[in-house]
Amino acid sequence: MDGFLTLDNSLKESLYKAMHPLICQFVGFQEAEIKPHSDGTAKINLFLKSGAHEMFKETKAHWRRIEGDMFLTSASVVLH
Amino acid sequence: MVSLRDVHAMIISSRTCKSRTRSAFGVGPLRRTTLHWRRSSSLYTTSRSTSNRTYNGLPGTYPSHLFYNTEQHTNNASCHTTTTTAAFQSISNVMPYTTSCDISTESKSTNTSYADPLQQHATTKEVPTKHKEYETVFSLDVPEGKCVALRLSNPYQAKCLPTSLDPFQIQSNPNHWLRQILHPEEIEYGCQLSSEPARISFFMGRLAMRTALAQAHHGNYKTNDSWEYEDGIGGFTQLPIVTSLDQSILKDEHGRPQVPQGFIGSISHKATTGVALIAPIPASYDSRECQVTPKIGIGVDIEQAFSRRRNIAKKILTPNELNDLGNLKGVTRDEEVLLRFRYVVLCIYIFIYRICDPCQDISWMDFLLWTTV
Repeated sequence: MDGFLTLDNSLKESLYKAMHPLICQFVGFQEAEIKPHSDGTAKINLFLKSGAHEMFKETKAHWRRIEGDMFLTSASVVLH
Repeated sequence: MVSLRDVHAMIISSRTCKSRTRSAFGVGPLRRTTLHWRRSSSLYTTSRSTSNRTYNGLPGTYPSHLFYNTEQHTNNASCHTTTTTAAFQSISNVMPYTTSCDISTESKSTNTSYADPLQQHATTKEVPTKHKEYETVFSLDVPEGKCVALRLSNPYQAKCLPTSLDPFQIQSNPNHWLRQILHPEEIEYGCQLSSEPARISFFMGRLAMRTALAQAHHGNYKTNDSWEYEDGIGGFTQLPIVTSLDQSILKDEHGRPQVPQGFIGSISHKATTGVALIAPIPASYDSRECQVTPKIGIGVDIEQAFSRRRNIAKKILTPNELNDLGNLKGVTRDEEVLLRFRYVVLCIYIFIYRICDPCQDISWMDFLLWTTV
């Protein structure tokens, strides 16, 4: 359970890092929903209050386990 | 003061616990202490036997070779010493940096490679070499780009050693290993950070980014925006010697690392590990325009996924102890964490006992009663 929470937070952190330079606004943890899949991909649903996510052409996030006890997550965001 | 991190023990399966402690500045051996443990029902009990002092020097008068030898033992994970370097006395206040000059002269093995950085660069330029001060955790091609993680090899070394990441050592030593790799502005920024964890995180993040950039530089960029690298996973790429003429990797106005034009990057830290993600801006985008108005963003993060019990173990045990967990027959990994925690409590007890009054005998039971109140 702890591990899944950590993974979700980590995925959101990566996504936030990727999108913040593009939209330059605060994004709360409740404004994004990420569901990690076992193949290392993740499904992303954004509910930004500002509606800025409509500018996004593509959002992707990936994860993998490193050294057994670490999660590495990465994300990318592309504007229209 | 002695922190829990300074307490270092090795439990041997013969049920004799040969132990030693160390402080951040290193201490000379004071006592010979042997710890024993046994299992009684579901409870662990620990006891100690102490012999006469082998050295009774006053704080500030310890011979420097004792400090150095202590560090050597600390670095050697397989070293089983029966001499407990009792870290009872905080020597940080009486041992200023300037008195540690003898240590640097004795640790020739760690200094000689930096005597002539230009020559070192010339001789190792063609062959990727492993840097002994840090290690590669991974070097991966993730869908977003090239991702490299580096970890500091010996984060708990004494601050007075010339290879430590203490600001005084970095700024006073022009041949410090970090100054051969990072930009002067990065060094200056990192040294201004007040907390040691933040400083280590910053330096390792920048090191990881420079390593990723170096690997990207040596890699072949293919037309379909994917990456191909000459170095395999875990391989080291020779980093360029950075001068003040090169660009520093500080933060831009968006909080992103300022990577060279044509690239986008992201950095994450966890304890002594720095992770960097670097990717090229696709040819379909104007990289100069993207530098001003970003159209693409990437992000990376690294998190620990251990359980609560493991979290406790990470806090109270040293890396060597963590690696040694699970080798005791009949004792589970979690049980051993608790067993070793008892040893930590014992060391705190010894420490308090010495601070209070060496002449006054405080029994173990008194201490237990005191801690349970």
